[in-house]
Amino acid sequence: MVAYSILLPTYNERENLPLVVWLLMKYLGDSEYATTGISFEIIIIDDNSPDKTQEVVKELQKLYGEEKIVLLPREKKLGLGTAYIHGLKHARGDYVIIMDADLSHHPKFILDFIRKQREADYDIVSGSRYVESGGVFGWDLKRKVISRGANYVAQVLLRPGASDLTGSFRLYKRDVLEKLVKSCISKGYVFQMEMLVRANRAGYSVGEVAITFVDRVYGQSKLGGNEIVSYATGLLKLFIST
Amino acid sequence: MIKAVEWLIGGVALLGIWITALLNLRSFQLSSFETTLILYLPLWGVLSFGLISIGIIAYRTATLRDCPEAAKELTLQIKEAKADLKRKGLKF
Ligand SMILES: Nc1nc2c(ncn2[C@@H]2O[C@H](COP(=O)(O)OP(=O)(O)O)[C@@H](O)[C@H]2O)c(=O)[nH]1
Ligand SMILES: [Mg+2]
Repeated sequence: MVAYSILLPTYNERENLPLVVWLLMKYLGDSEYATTGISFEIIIIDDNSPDKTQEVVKELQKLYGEEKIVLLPREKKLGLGTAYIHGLKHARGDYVIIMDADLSHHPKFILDFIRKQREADYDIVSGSRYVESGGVFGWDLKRKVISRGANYVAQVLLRPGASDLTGSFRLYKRDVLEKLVKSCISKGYVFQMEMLVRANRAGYSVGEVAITFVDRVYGQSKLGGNEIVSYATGLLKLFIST
Repeated sequence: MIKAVEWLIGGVALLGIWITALLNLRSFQLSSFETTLILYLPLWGVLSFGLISIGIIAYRTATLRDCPEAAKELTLQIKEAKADLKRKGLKF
């Protein structure tokens, strides 16, 4: 029996992945929940990363076992949304945790997510950088303004009932995530926002947990280019459709 | 209800009230200051909404916490993890 499935989509995360897995083992493998029966699996969805992330995954499987570390390879870069769908098909847990594999999401917060979820049987627990004791590291003023501005506009237009819309560190009940992910069509940052907006419209309960977000140390962000433009159009689409 | 429709209904309702007020402006017997106030009411509305928004975004930007302690913890843990994984024979 697996209670929690942790989905880690990876694209060129060879340096980060072993560290993330090590931290997951540190906090979940030996935690206060260990005795009360937290069981988990780590599902890595890798899109044939040129840096050979999959070699590292195989090494990790030797170390921690193929039960704990599940590798789902895909033949080419197909994007985050479909990576979650693919990972979900193989997830055995009743709850699914999605997080980035670039160390900007610290595994220690998963314990807070689980605690929060149990508090009121939430359908979703969302990590938020924007609530008390949350925060960011490595952001300059410009990035802060853009992030806060973009979030404010979305709050005003969509009233989604959650403070951090573009984050991607969350816990979902598996059936809730299955339903949501199928109804979401956006890409990039808007995808994460659409998930919470649709959850809000469908009446799912969302709890929030403060998280700190430390910008990635190794590797490069894959989101880039015309982020602001695609965010604005995505936001408008949600405005007229949800 | 779709949010765009909510906004539309709200907007039309407010506009309706304003236009009604404009049409009955004479019967109110207002000073010239009050008349201009009502005449440009939507403009004042948009302006103050914009100013308040800028204020809120500025406040939220200023209060977005930097968390050097989290970065420090992570740096230490990365070192620890690397050493431990190497000891366990992981090739990476
Ligand atoms: N499988 C898969 N993972 C991806 C893809 N794009 C990004 N990722 C992973 O998704 C996570 C977040 O991506 P990142 O580039 O850090 O986005 P950012 O944090 O918004 O800049 C990381 O773990 C990436 O390795 C993709 O196309 N396929
Ligand atoms: Mg990242």
